[in-house]
Amino acid sequence: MNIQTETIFSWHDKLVKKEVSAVEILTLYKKRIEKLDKEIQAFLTLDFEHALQQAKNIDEQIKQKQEISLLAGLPVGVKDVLMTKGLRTTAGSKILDKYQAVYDATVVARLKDQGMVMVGKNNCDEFAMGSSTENSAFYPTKNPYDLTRVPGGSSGGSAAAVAASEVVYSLGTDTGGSIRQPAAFCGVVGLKPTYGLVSRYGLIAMASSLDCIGPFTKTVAESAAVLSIIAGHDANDATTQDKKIKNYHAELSANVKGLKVGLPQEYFIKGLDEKIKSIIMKLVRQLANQGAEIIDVSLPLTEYALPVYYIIMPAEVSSNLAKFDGLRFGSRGKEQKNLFAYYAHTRGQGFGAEVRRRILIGTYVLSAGYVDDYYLQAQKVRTKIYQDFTKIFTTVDVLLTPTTPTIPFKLGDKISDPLQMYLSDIYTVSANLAGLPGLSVPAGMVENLPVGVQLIGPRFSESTLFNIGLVIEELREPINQPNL
Amino acid sequence: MIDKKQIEHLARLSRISLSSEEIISFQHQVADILNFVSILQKIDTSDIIPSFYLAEQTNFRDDEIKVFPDRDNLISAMPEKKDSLLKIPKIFS
Repeated sequence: MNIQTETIFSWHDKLVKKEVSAVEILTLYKKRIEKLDKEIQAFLTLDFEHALQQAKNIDEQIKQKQEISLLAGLPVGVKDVLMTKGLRTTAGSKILDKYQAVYDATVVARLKDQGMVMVGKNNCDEFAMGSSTENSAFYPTKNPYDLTRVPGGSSGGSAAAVAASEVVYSLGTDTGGSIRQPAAFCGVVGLKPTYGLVSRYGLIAMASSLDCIGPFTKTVAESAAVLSIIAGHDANDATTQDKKIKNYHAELSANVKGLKVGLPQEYFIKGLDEKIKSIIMKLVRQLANQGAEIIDVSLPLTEYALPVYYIIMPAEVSSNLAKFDGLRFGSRGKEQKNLFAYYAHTRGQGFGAEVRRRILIGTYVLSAGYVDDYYLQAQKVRTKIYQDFTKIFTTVDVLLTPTTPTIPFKLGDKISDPLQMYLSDIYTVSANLAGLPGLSVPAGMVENLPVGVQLIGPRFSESTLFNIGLVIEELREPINQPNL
Repeated sequence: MIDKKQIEHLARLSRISLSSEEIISFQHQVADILNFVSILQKIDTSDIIPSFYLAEQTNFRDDEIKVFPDRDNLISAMPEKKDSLLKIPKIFS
């Protein structure tokens, strides 16, 4: 048994054959967390007590000869922006330091129904705002492949926990790249589903027109297995679509014959690390050898995606975070001379610099006199970006791009320059603006660090992305596990 | 270029206190970011409808009263309370 190469499927098989018990699996991962997480810092809160109870329940079911679900008995990490009943839920922020969630997010409830063993809450940038997990109000998470480098963000804790084999899989959220970018940096698979496929009920919202919840796994097939459970209509999130949900992993087929793969030229220009480019282009040639048709395409509005994002997202942030007034939940500041001073003090002390910066920008772009030039104009350009994608998908089935322009950067390198940090999401943000699914799959290694390839498809094309992902897993050079 | 007064005004509108050093650093950072996004203003968007979100349809549920199943837990999460009521600071001085 090698914990670094086990998957959802291999563990499930061993559980069913009684080669291992759920309690034994939990013990293995617990030991690993105790050994590694002091350094990696992928968790903000651990809850082995309840995890053990869950594992025992599963073992009892196996003993009673009951059928257990595929995900039953497997240790999981959950990003700390997701509500977990009875467990501390901070969103990586001081303002919620002492907050205990009073209900489960729909995705958490659905996984609990499957017998999830939740070991704890993963570190993240405060309110999911950042690309390195350095904006966590508590501590940064480190990249398991090199502890002097960032794991990416904002779901850096969820990505690092899977990469370091501290959990079997984890949940993250992606508003502008926060699943795909850390997945690429940590050498794991990260899926941002179609907007409207997975319920966000119980997600501490950042930007509601962009936020999506998705899994981190070691392999593409596992990503499909988790999606099959968390996807689907929920009366508590009115944007979820009323569609029959597929059993994604049962329908997998590693085949790209005749598939039209588009390479958007704007994703391969100046700014992309040459070594990443050569890994991606090698994969492209291999896909062509397998029968895929490679087509050069253009998305001329690509350079406007980040500017659109940095208007719409802060506008929604300034509105969503107004509820953190210190009165109803979380930490309460000291008494002040009047209500205004009380709010300003609580929010000034409770929110970190990046959160406050985004609230100010959001307030600015929504102000009378600026709203038409900034907010409304951004929403219109967003329409044009969506139209560009719609047009492209009449000629290709999927787009293939690098996930990030660079390899994981050093801790501290970009933290003092917000604009430089924002550029980390340059290849991922368009999918959020257009509501499209995006999958990042490890593509190879550069200087012993993992790099990712991103697949973007039309709305609800997750199955296609998984199938290409499977082929990429077969074609690429081996991805080494981190040396831990 | 956004000035110091505008930053203070935005901070007041959004109920956020800033230190005097932060006002200066935020002024520069916010200016950089607004400069970065102003590139959008040169795009022709006449006749384009804004997209506020991208879902095929919004599935509103029926407007029926549903009782939250865990009222006591919700109340116990309040930072300060009197019986089951949320205690807040004085509003009138």
